[in-house]
Amino acid sequence: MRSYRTITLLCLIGASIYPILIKDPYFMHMAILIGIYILLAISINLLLGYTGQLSLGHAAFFGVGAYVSSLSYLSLKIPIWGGMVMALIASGALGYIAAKLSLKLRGAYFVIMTIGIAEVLKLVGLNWVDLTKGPMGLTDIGVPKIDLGGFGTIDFSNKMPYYYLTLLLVLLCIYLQYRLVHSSFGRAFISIRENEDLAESVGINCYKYLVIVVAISASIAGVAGSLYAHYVSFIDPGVFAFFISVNVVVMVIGGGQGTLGGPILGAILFTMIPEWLRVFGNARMAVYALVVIFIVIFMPRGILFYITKLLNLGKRTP
Amino acid sequence: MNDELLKTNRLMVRFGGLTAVNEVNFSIFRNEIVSLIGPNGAGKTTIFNAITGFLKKTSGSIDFEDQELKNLKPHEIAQRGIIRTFQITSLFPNLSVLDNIRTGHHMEEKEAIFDALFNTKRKRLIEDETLARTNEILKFIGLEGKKENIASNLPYGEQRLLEIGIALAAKPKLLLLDEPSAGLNDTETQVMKNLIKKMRDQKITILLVEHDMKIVMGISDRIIVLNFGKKIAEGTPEEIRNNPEVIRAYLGERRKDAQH
Repeated sequence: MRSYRTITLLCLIGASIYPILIKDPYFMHMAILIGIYILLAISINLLLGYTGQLSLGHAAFFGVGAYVSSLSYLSLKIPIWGGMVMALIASGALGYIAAKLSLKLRGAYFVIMTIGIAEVLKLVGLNWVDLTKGPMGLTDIGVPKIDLGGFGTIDFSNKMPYYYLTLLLVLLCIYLQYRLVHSSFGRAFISIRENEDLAESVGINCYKYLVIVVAISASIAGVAGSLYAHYVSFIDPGVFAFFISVNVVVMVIGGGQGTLGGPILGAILFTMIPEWLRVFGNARMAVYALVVIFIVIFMPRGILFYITKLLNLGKRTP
Repeated sequence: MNDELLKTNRLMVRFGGLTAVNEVNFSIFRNEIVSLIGPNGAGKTTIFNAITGFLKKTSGSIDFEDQELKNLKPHEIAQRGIIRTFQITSLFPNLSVLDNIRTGHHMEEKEAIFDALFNTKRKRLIEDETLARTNEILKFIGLEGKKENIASNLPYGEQRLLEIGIALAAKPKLLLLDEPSAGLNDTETQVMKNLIKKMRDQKITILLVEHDMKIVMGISDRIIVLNFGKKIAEGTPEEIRNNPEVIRAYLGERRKDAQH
């Protein structure tokens, strides 16, 4: 247990001094993207890793968060803070409704339903031109500034403050996930993954807990969407892309589903690997696919598991 | 003392053209152990599934504590106090023995999501309580030395004990055991038998489906015999042992022309 604490602390220190050590804007940009992906990975992990339900439509919640936050800034002049809360509520509500509709289904049927929801929203984004400007997308999504009186202002259009904002949210979500998993809620989630019939037979309302998980998971994805929109300050219906959902699922499975550290590791690695593969030029994504296949075949329990085994940190994964 | 806990009234379950359970009436009283026996395919597990809501009954009614269990989902029936085990070993395979039982204790943990997220004092109290109760059960089923083991790594006999531990953690008013000794060797069967006896001493009401007649005859207060979905006999072990219908159901009828 102690070694986990040390590693967590080291990661925390590393993450907080990262921008001071590395000033390169490219690496700052990657770090912020990774942060957003970690949020999404946690969101998927809650659902896939703990309750065992695969969603390939999480881009729906991500996209709704992005659009709600952007639109409330552009048309109502609500800054990112309010936008983030609204994204959280909107995505959470959508998640709740989607869960109510689809969680009577299991397995492949549930997966198809989630894909469907994301695709429908993508079409809405493309065709509701009055609201979303369609494929033109929304531009000039503002970044916040905080006036500190005599101490100047924090301008979030700079990468460093935005990095810390992302880091804060990531830490908050990690904490939230940790608490949730180590409670009777977490045990109920896991029992659904492990043996739904047995869970029902000891009085666990699986449907109710799945709806809760999806709502929480969707809220987190919504916040990630809001964070993304205000970071790149431009969004189009591409935020609903199937690719995003799949990529995050790969991160979670590759990193280690059902663990606290796995999705984080997965988000970091699978954001960086395509970058490292740039030497392959046009063949980059093909090589990336090979890497993914390799990891899935040879490390089916996620990279984290094999690293822990390698370091011999005891039986349990964090 | 003659306190009726569960009562079925002309319970009927049909699968298409097949009548698996045909107008079966029986009652279970508090603190007794009732066994449900019969040849394979007699409808024992179907009755279990109908009582616990895993199957929809075709007609008839089931009353529990004088209230009808009508269109309830399995977890709602569990919340009323009817807890079952499964014929095929059913655990949370990747969790530790401790967590398996802790999960079984879920209904007792009335914690709000707020408590979970902020690790409130209330939550910690609930966790302590759960842990204490879990340890009690581990001791009761004799697995206290294996707390940290992963359930799927346990030997088969201990997995079956753990199943009962999970059910006990849910505080059953009525415990339905579906062939707890199936597949066990002699020593393990003895351990299981002792555990069931211990549960009887704890005044847990049990409905038991079991093929091992030594267990059934040794611990049942009453026995109900099913054949082809129909109740053919009911009574004390002594009465059942001497019931000609039961013998016929189990051993088959002697063919008339074979008598010579």
